[in-house]
Amino acid sequence: MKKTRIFVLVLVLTLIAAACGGDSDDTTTTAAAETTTAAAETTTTAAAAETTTTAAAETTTTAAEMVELKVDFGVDVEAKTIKIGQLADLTNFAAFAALVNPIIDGQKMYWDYVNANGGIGDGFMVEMVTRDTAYNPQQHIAAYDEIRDQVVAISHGTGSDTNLSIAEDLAEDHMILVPATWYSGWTDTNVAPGIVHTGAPYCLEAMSLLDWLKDEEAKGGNDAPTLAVASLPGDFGLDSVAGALKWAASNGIEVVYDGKGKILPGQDNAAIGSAIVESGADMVFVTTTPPTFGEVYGAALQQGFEARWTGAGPTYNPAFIGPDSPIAAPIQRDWYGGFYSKPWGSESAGMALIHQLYEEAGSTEPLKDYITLGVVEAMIVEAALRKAYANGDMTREGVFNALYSISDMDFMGIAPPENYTGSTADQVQRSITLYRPNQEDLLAGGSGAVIVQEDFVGPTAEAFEFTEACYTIEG
Amino acid sequence: MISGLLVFAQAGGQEAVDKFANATSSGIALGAIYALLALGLVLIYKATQVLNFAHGALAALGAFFAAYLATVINFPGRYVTFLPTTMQWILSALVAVLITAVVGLVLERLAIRPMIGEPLFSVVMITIALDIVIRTITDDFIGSSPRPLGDPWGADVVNIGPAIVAKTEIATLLVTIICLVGIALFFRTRYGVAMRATAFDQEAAMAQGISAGRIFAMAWAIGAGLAAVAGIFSSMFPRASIGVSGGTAFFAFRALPAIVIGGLDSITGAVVGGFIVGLVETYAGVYLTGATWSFLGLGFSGVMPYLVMLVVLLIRPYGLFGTEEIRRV
Amino acid sequence: MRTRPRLFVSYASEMSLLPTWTQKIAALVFLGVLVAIPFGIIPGLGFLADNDWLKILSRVAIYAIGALGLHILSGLAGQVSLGHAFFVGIGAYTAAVLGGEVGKGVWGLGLPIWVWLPAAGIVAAVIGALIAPTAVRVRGIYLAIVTLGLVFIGEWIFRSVAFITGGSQAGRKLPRFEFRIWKEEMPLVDFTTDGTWFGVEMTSEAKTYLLMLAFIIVAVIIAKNIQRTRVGRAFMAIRDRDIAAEVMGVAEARNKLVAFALSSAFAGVTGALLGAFIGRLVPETFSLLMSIQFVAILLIGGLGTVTGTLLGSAFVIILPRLVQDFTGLLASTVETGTGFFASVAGIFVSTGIDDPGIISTLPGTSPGLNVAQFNVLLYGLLLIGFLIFEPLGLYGIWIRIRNYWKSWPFTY
Repeated sequence: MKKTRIFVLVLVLTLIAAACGGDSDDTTTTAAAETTTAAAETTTTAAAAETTTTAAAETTTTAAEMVELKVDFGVDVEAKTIKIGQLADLTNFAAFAALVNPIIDGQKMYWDYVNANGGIGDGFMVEMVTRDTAYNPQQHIAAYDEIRDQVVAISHGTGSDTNLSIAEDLAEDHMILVPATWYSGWTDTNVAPGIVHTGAPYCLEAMSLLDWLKDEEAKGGNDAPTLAVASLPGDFGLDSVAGALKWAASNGIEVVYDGKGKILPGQDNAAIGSAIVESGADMVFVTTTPPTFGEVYGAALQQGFEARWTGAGPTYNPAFIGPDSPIAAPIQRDWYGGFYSKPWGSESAGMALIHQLYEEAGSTEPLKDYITLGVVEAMIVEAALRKAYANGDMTREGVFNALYSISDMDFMGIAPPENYTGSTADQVQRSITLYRPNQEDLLAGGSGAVIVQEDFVGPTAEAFEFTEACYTIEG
Repeated sequence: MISGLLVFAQAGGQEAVDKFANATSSGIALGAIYALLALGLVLIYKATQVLNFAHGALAALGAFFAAYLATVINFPGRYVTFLPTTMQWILSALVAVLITAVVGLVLERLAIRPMIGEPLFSVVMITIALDIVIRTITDDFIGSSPRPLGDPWGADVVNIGPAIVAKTEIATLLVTIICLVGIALFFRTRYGVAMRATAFDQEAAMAQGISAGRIFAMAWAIGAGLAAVAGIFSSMFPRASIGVSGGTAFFAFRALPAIVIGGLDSITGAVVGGFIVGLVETYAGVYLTGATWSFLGLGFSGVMPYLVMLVVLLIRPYGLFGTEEIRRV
Repeated sequence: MRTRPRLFVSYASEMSLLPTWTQKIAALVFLGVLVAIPFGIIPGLGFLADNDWLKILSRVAIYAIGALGLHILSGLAGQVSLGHAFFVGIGAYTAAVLGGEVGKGVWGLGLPIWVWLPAAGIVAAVIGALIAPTAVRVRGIYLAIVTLGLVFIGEWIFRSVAFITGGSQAGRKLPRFEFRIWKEEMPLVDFTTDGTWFGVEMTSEAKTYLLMLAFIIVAVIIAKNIQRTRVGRAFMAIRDRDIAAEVMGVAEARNKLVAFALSSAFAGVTGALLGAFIGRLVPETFSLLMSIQFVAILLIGGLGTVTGTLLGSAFVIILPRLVQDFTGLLASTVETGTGFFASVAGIFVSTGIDDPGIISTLPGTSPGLNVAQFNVLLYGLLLIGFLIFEPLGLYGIWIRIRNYWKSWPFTY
């Protein structure tokens, strides 16, 4: 009985503490709401004053400058804070938690840097509101519902089906969200406004990669290489493979094995590796998660298969060429990789900054390129916030409109510049960075990727008319 | 059965024979891992009547320990440098198995012992909650990148007849046989007999002076140790080329049909069931593909073991080797 | 005569839904509170009127319906099932086909809610009845694994029939909460937009909450009626001693089949409601995880009682949120606060590479779990603690409180 009482006591205390947490949240929200209305009132009175009194114009303008900043959610003009949200998979390590944790770390490093250098506008400090979604649509929706009235923008949202399940709410709220996926639909202006694209979409990435591979094959004397494709189901795998198949069709390449959507985590994927071996392809295009890629590649390697392998960026993990990895040598021989942002070893002002932030934080994170991605995502929101401040409208709608008026988004050289204005064809990003894995570079403290070419656009990718998503997710 | 299929395969020429031989060797290797998982599950079930849903998490934890000991701190290898590297690695793996066994002991003492006499459902739920806890901690230990085990076999392969077999697969098979023989011998020792007695009738065993608590602890320790062994060998080339990762913990769910096919309380059944599931899954993956079989949908090989399980249960409701429960009023 | 718990003076009173006046009044007051929540007029519970909390409460109600189904199967008929998620999925996709819109590659008939909601229950019940004969053959842990197999096979089916489910990791839209007579343009009652009802401003969340409340009340009454009438008592007889029940003339196989069908019907309705509530579902939703959630609800609430099932649903759905708020408070106290509490919290929180702690604010850098991982860990630990220290669940706590007051001020 005694232990029961103690436990109940602890539980009750915990729940009380938790309830207090809920309450304090509650009060901050109402406070913010109050200030909002207050600010709104002053704005209207100031505006009214302006229209009625034409005299003393100078003083009115300064007064207007002081109060004219329009805000609704997530921006507190009294406390000078801006809250931005992250809907991140932080716990589901069978899905993307391993990649998302460094992304969130990178964002935190970057926002700390922004705050230390004066913040946004005249000293607004950016605060992160991070919620775990475990890559589960239900949790994703619940997390969005929880933070939607607390934040002005969302700087990270893991997954595509998860983000699509809140797409209508996002549109209704005029909320921008930076997804950590390169689904070609995000570039399509008709799909999910508010979900921001960054980097080349999977399907164009696939075309550029295969252009490169075909070139390599031709250098080796093989002018008619064959192609095998395999992928996960869902937008990640299918969008990517859609690009590969379009590439094969326009280049007249024979597809000897089509395993699109056939790789599944939690099943024995060795059979797909065997099927690839059986097809005898010269080039293999696989888009999946690193552990499942290991299964497919391992099975093929076991049977002595040699080919040029490639796939969408997240398929590869530097752990493949780690010092104890059994596949380190063959992967260095076989893998031809591409990535959306610039690799760790590239040279630019932005990359120098990231190196500096990484060292200052004392980070030991091995997935360094995902830290870069976090910074890229944060930079997009930062640019939108700065522009919105300059426009004097930091409402969610103001930030939304600010973002979609940026035509020359610059990432200080860590990612190719983006355009968020105009038609789908105007907005699309085609360039990727090509790299080869290299263990020596990894052991020397690099990211293990040796750059082959930056800002590469393959001839097929260049010629492809991108007017809509390569693969459509239903609904 | 396999020889019969071989004759069938020979009709398709050398290529078909190679394909069949590779599928069979791969299926046996996969089956060996399932058998290892099933052995631990059945041992715990036999002694304590609990189905351990935390088995996969324990397997991942054990594999992490092995990876950490062998590749990061080189323990105990750095003290016995005179031994060949293969032996050093085996020592690391053994230490990892021992640590996991101790974890099993602690779990039993903290979470399972207080539940003796509670309904079956509650105890199963405890193991599910344990799974959540251990998996979370293991994921954090592993970190953002998978951890290779640093085993001495790497990606080496040997040719056995028409089949190309990875050395790790041969090692897995050997270890499975050692574990099976070890468990069989264990059941002949004093403690083994005591465990069988406790499994048969707790109260009668206690009346004979057997400490049921100690038996429970022993079963969990050995079960967790076996989980670690399975975890280590399931995180190697070619099955998981890049080592132990967040998905390793979910691997054990694939061994559940094995223990039901074999019969929940049969050690022989666990091993036979493991190999059946391994072979069935691999054959389904290799042969039931292509346009002809596209109506089977996505990931059919993964549900094949469950279908076999349902068929077995329709014919024998207590598995192939399980003992039938006697129902009394 | 004054009524007391468990004291019955007539058969009719033993069989009644709410035997005592106290219970009748308590139920009425509780119901009143539930209805009043979205209007934010109850002191102390005002925060529940937030849209965010109303959605959580709606989810509690939706899960409670499914949990009542499992209560019938496991709590009353004693059949351990880990396959509940499969039937939830069947319900969701029945609703999707009947009520959903035709899209690129997916079927949809666009029928109104009064068709798809009952149909979801009926289709799930039929499939439950079809599967029952197999499940009836096995018992105990074997049944648990067979039903587990059902979840995996179900996931495979849902993944494969992309024209119904939209396909793996892509999913499809489901019908919304709108009441139409048939396929007319303007819905008669619309729960998905903000608007005025009888002169009161209502958000869509508040409307949906009230709708879910109505559904759960109906479900509770049905479950209670099943429990106290002939069929429920037959279930309990089978649960307690199946052979004895058979000897007394309770047909075991037939009753188990009925239990499966009824349980699946509840699950199917939950699936349809969940789908409409979320608006979009992927086949991976109906995984083992969801089954486990339902089992956890039953065990935490207290196996075998309707009240316990409802308490369990509230606990399991709300707990992660409370845990998250608690950890958030802990972390923010360390980062900004001072004083005693901050230093205590500082022991647990790690803010840099040299600062040991369980919770890390920068996971790639400092040691410890990230905040979200810590939440999951705490959730698991609370589950274990609960099962060890309170095997009868929340209902057990309630019984203890009631017994204490029954004999108050005497302690015996």
